[in-house]
Amino acid sequence: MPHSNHPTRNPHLAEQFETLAQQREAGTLGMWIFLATEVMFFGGLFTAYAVYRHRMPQGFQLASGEYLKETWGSINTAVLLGSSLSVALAVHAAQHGMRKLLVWLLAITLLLGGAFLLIKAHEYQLEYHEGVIPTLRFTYDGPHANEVFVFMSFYFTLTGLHALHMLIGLALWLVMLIRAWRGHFSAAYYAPIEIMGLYWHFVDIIWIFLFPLLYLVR
Amino acid sequence: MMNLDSTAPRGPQLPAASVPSDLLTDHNSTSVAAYWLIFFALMLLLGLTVLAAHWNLGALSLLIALLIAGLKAALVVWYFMHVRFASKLTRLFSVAALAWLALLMGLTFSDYLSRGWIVGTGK
Repeated sequence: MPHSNHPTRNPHLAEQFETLAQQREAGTLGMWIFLATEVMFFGGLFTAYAVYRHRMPQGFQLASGEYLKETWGSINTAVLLGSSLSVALAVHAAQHGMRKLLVWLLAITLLLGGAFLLIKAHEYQLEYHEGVIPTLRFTYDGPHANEVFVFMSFYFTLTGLHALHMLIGLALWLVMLIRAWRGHFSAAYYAPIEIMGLYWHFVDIIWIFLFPLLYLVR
Repeated sequence: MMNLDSTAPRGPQLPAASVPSDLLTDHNSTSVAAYWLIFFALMLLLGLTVLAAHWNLGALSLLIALLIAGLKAALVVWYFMHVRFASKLTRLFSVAALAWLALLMGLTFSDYLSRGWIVGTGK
């Protein structure tokens, strides 16, 4: 290791890497491996959803049409796509060493992510009052009650786990915002922003599939 | 052959041939205008998926919804997640998950969809 004890070594370069580019590549690959495990995590749930939708088409259609708020779901999809744009622009700002712009874009991302969770919480509240939350408050006893119960269970499991991912993402973005504010990043070192961006876009992609599968069952 | 000891720059400094040069590209990275363009395309597809859901297409509607979602995901992966600039190794990992997912769903449905095909078995 010719450079490891060199006095001018970049302070952001961890001991086990030779160059920042190599470090960035390893970090990027690591995040993609993690995302692959996330695909399997959500993939199992999506598969279970597909099996039950195939077996209970009427109940799924009825529950989706009656109890899911298509308008709020559409608005939330737009909000999340907007946050993906602000993240993409934040990575761009970081790449070009624009500290102030980076801080602003991360703040916008936090606002959009927070708005998404607030809208989701509002939907959950409405569903509580309608009595369609399995185990917690389920008072529906109309046609296909069993199937409605199964659909709502999938809805809360999938959107709940997605919201948990959002919450973790927002906490990490807050850390990134503080680091960006303190000037930790530069055009030469911005890998944490870029790798966090990968995670955020992935959570967005999960929602891109959840929205039509839950809100638009026909 | 992977050479982790290499001091040669990796990642963004790909050979020129593998970097697409088009209107969306600006000095080996995506331009700001391109990010906005992709965003508007995603919003358009969102509008389309909501519209299509109201067209009473029956069994086709699920297929259309999934096709649109797949297209949106592809745009996000390719442009926002920078896979178009990523190394071959990273690209491999980004599609590997889909291969496992196809196995999971393919084998599951080869069971569920074929039940009852042979009279007197299954449900």
